[in-house]
Amino acid sequence: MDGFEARARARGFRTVAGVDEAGRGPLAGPVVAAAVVLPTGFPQAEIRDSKALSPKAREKAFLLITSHALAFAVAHSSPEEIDRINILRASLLAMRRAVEKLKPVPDFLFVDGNFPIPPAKYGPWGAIRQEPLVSGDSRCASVMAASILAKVTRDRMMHEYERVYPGYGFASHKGYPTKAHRVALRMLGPSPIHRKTFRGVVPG
Amino acid sequence: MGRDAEEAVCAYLGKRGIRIVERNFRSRGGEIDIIAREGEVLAFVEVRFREEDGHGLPEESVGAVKRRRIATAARAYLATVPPDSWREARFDVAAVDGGDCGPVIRYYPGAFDAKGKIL
Repeated sequence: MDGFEARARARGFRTVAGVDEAGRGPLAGPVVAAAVVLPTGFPQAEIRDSKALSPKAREKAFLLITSHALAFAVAHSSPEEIDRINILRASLLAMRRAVEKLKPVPDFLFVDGNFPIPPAKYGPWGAIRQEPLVSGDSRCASVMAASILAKVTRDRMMHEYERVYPGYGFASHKGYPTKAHRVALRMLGPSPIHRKTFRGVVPG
Repeated sequence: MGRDAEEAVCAYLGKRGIRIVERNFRSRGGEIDIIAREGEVLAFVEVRFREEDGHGLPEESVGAVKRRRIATAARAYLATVPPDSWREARFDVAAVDGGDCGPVIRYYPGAFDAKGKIL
């Protein structure tokens, strides 16, 4: 483990960020992305893989990351966008937005998954190098940190949506396809934050 | 499991009025899970389903080699049908994600082109 950021720095990059997203699988809600620049010597053993952490441990890790990070940013792509451009593109778009919010501007990104973020025509993208990392969220500390920020933020958003659209159980399943979610969907029909292009949301 | 996933996608297409013309088409170069037709448009559909311990989403696992093999098989298929029977062809990816209750289908029409390039 470790070493990814150190190696990038050894190649001369100064601001190395990890980028990840949360919420591609759910039937409802946004896809949330985060970008994090960690300081050297960050106690990464304490955050580990966000999927392996309990919600409570994730909240703790969230505090640790946001208080220690040199920079972090969170952004999202809406359910409407997901329906318009498909979930894979929407998650890359959310990651792009998170990176564009980072200050200082990074010059190197480790991006979780198979694909680099499609650069925007304008802005800092000309000077940013990227490396996609499959299962980066369990191998690379800053990607792991980004994964936790994205997941915790998304969970919080879904808690808010529970109040706006009660009855679906967003606070418990966070939009993921569980039995209770299906039943609610059948009874109430899709809410405005449901992804209409995911079969399982709209009957048929 | 793979079979169930393909069934689910066929049902999905059927409900949308898209006709299934071939299943598991094989040629020397590769295999196509589903060939469907909507009027003069042919769709070559690759079905992906959630594997245990998979990284990322199932639809991301259609790699460059696989995409080219599908395109090769598609050319072989097109050679077997009358050239004026279709006007357009495209490559779709259907992801079947098994939640703990029934499948979720995410359908990507025109996911990649005949050179295997992701669109």
